[in-house]
Amino acid sequence: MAEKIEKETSSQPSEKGEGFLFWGLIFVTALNVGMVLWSLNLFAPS
Amino acid sequence: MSLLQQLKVHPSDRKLMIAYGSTGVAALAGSGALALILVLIRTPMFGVDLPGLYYKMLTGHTILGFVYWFAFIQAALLIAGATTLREGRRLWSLKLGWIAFAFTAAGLTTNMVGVFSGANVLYTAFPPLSQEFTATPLIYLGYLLTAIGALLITIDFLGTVTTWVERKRSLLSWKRMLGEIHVSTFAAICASVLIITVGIAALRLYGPAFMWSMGWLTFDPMTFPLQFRLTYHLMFHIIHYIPTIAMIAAAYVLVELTTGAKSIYRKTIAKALFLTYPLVVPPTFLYHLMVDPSIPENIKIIGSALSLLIWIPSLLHMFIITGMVEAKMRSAGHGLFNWIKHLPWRNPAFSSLTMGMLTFGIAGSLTAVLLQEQTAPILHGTFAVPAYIHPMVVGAASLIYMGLVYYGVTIFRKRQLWGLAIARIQPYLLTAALIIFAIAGTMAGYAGVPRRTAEISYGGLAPESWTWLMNVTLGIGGILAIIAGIIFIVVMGMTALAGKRLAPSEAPQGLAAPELTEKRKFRYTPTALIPGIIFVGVILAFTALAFGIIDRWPIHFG
Repeated sequence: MAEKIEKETSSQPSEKGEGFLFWGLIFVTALNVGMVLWSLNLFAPS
Repeated sequence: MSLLQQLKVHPSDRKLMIAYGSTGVAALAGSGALALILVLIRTPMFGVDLPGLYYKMLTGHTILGFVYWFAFIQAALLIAGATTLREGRRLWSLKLGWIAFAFTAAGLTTNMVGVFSGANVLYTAFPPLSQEFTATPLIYLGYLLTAIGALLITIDFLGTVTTWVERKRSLLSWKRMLGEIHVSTFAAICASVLIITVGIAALRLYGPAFMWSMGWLTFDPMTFPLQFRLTYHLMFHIIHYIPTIAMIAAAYVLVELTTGAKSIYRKTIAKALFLTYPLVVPPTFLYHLMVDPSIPENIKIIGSALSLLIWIPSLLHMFIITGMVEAKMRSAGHGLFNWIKHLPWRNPAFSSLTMGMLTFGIAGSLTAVLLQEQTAPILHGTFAVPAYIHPMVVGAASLIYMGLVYYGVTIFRKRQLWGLAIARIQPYLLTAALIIFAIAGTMAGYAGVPRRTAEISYGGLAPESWTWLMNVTLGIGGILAIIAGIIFIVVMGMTALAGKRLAPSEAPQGLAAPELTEKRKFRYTPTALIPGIIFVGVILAFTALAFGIIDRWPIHFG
């Protein structure tokens, strides 16, 4: 609801796809950090 | 308002950016100086017989060129993305920026002390070879310091990004900020994801390796070298794509600065394409391990197939950037191909951009056979590898960065470009040199010339073709590239120190975008499709050629 009000009252124009960029960024960050931690665990010196 | 007029930076942030940029250019100059010694040793016609010096020079050349030129210049670009492209907004923490710079500079110093103390370990510093040199700990320590420096400047950059969000708890504010920022600043955020990943991997790799090299830790001598290589390749693979993102982000800025072109497509498309790098890069690292006998063949084939994904975002970015120029020029009334003739070819920053894109295409097409499971094991130890990496690193990425440095040095030092006439030649000379290097070097690689060997005559047993191919590759291509590098360093140094001072409203001479009057709206860019089509065609031709060579090879692998 707060987001809806902000969207309606904001003076800045919104560009399509902003949500995709945000969630995409979250996803690739999680993917990269997760993958590197998993790989490092696999290749860790014993 | 043009992008050039919007570029502003606070004096304190500017000092940090200049420190990073000038140290990067100094590292590039050092790498070039060592390249000259390598060329003298490896070119048969020069006949300089100093094999003992060869590996020291090779180690120093690659560390300075591939690690430190990029580490410093890309940090400068990261700061520019956070400040200059945000109309002079401040960096989140200037102090953290300087601490990051100090760590990276300490890494550079430590590594160079290590190299000149005799750690001839190449930039890879693989065990067990590295164990043979007493100065090896300085190489691992230098890399650790650099990784910390890179992580700190990235944290500073991301901290700056958070200051642009009006209401931190509002999801919409975050989304709006990502939509509002420049394409290149968004690209820097995507690169930050990779820098963090690389930083974690580097700390995990070089921390234990440093302690091992000091004798403080012991590992299984059989498994440690293998595990080191696997982690190294994971990290090194991701490192490759930081310059790729930075280079394309720089190209978006350069195309606006040099031609005044704006994208005819929604900015979100270009930004979304940048997101695909951190999406496809991590799962494709397998193509660095094609000769590793411990990895099953079917996994390698999956790695080969996935590696094809890497080209897609770069190809689409190149289409958008070329399309931006085409739309701008054709809106001014120029015809289907006629617009190419009217581009600002005498602007050294524009020619750096276009020549950078050309060498990117050439290097990219040469990589096709190096990514495939069947051809990679045959070619990876040959000169085919330096033959592609030089147009990619010294060409594409460095040329495009150089294009931005032409603007950076004039704007930040408030001086006219010194030696405009030789600056105009420099990008073309470097490109011609790299094309000679790439073509003759690839032929040498396909003929079997080894990649990291000082002396290749093998007591007269080597094929005759090796001599002339290396004479052309290094004797002509290498020397011309070094001359082009010297021109760049001289022009930059003289501009910074002795260039004519710019009046407050004066624009740097030779770098202004052409004044064009819009006569019509132009929304389709068919010519921009042509480079991509040629690229795919060349890749198919190279693949067919490489498989043809395999059939004639006297030894069959696998």
